[in-house]
Amino acid sequence: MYRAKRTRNIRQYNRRIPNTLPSMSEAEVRELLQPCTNLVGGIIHACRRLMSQFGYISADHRIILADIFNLSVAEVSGIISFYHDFKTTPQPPNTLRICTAEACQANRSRDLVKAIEAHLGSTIPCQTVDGMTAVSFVYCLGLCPNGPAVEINGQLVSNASADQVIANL
Amino acid sequence: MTTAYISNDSFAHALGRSAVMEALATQDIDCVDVGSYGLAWLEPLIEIDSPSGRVAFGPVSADVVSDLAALINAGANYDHHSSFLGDIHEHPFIKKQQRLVFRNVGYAALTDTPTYTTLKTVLERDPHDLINELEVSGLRGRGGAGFPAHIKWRTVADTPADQRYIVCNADEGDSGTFSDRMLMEGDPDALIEGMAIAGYACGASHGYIYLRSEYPYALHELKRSISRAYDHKLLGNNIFDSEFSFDLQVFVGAGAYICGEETSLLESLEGKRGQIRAKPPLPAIAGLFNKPTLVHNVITLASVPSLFDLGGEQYGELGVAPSCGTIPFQIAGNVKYGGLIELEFGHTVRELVEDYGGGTRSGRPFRSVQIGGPLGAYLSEAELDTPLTYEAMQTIGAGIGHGGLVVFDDTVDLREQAEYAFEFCEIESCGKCTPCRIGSVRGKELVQGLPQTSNVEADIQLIHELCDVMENASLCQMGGMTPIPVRSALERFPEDFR
Repeated sequence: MYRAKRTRNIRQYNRRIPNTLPSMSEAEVRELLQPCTNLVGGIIHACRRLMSQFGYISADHRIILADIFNLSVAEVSGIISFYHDFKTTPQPPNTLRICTAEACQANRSRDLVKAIEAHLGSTIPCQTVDGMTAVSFVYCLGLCPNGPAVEINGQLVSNASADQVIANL
Repeated sequence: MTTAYISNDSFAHALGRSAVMEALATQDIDCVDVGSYGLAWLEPLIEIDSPSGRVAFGPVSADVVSDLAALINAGANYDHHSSFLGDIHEHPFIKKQQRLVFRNVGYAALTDTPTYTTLKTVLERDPHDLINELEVSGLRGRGGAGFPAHIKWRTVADTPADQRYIVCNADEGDSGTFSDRMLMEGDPDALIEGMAIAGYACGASHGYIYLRSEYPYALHELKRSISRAYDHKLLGNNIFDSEFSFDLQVFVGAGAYICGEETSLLESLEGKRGQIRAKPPLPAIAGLFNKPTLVHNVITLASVPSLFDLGGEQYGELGVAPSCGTIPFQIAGNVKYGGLIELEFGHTVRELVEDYGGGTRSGRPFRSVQIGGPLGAYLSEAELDTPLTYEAMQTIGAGIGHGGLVVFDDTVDLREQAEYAFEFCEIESCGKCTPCRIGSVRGKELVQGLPQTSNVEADIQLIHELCDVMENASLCQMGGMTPIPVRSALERFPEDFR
């Protein structure tokens, strides 16, 4: 049992500022990835850490990963390119993901996608003109009875409307 | 002082739970987080204590919270409030359900101290005895294939090895399915206890839960429950002072649908590209790191504690043998009342779509229902009276899959859906075998071209032939089952293709 706490009333979906983290030295990156080496499937954990630290996995990172996990750089690149969550180019600070699975289609997600694409002037996946938001598709957020579902900066939204989504772009 | 039990499910988060919490913070109300009862259209749902037991309200907004608080403070009657639902167990959506796996979800507080009483009882029994009881129960894998669970358990237990593993497939990628998520967010201890029981029966000391990255709330609850289980010595060394030790970890995937296929999942868990392995050898003989591995879906493993509580024989009497027990169905898409419905096997599709779902949300006529995720068949109105058993569904060329039903109204274009089935296969194919990797691309092009082509019948013939190749020559069910939605759409809704 607990008491609900008042949080500061901020903008509904926290917009993020561009990544201004100082770049890390090689030694620091190795230190960051060190805990992953003892885990089963360690390289996936390591890639996830790099994604949350830098937003992408650079060529330099791939060389370090190859060294740590005793793989070739080609093998590391093969692993990274297989998974949708891992990116090899810098990503905008904000994300918008639209569910395109069948249950959301049944609730007109195709129309939602068309409206957002018309607003953006390009086809998804893409970035907004200001480069601040990456717009992409996701296959199922598990909110299937209340579609269309979108995810804005990690926050889930059911029954999403085009106006509501565009207001956050 | 009033206590409010608040749904902490993703459904509630996506429908404005944070605003409700803001409102609750200004009131003299204690909060307890619970899972969701699965009435998705009534989220966020809260229950409050009343002299006659808990009463539910939903959907709740900040305004409802202040209304309620005012009524409670004035000692007034809140029964007439527009969001008043009364005793949730008497709600028509819940009343006729047979909840075994989901027996605690929605009611039990997420902070309750776990007891694992079933695990304690089974640790006093012989592991072989447990597998025999599992055989009597007739439990089959709930992930989609419906393979008898006891065969897997016995194979893992009987294969000589120095190390065995229990792996939970929580990569619930199918559209229209959310039962795994709801269970992990609402009663993760059922899954953990089920995995520990499986570990004891199969002689495995390590377990992994392969969770998809799209479920951050489930990850949070699982991690919290696992560390709490360790704190209470319900995981780790010498559980309940027995000889049995079991360690459990969560592994988060990285957004690949194919990793829901068991061999691909194991590859991913080993830190490789999630490409599937050719079978045999089966994972039960040579799975994770080539050791015998029991791979089961979340619901299968979470069924285990309730199954042993009830007794194998009694569990086996539920449903229509050989489809025994209960399965959580999920009704979604264009329905008025979507959510989770746990029932024994044998109810008809119509009962779920019409009696529970209440027809389409758009109010337009029903046209089709897709059963079993993106690789499931599109059924027509004429087939709604088919009973939901593995066998009956097979006779109409469909499958139950993971129990998800997606309803479409008459605006659906089945040609578009067939095209999407191929497109989905193209995006998510692991690329290992040609029928799936190339077949999906050619299939998409063919279906896309149908409105422009001069010879529709020849192209449809070609699609059928392509489906034959994919079905018979693909290495796994991804390519092997993509023809199911395509063919079912072609056969039942031919007018959409011409």
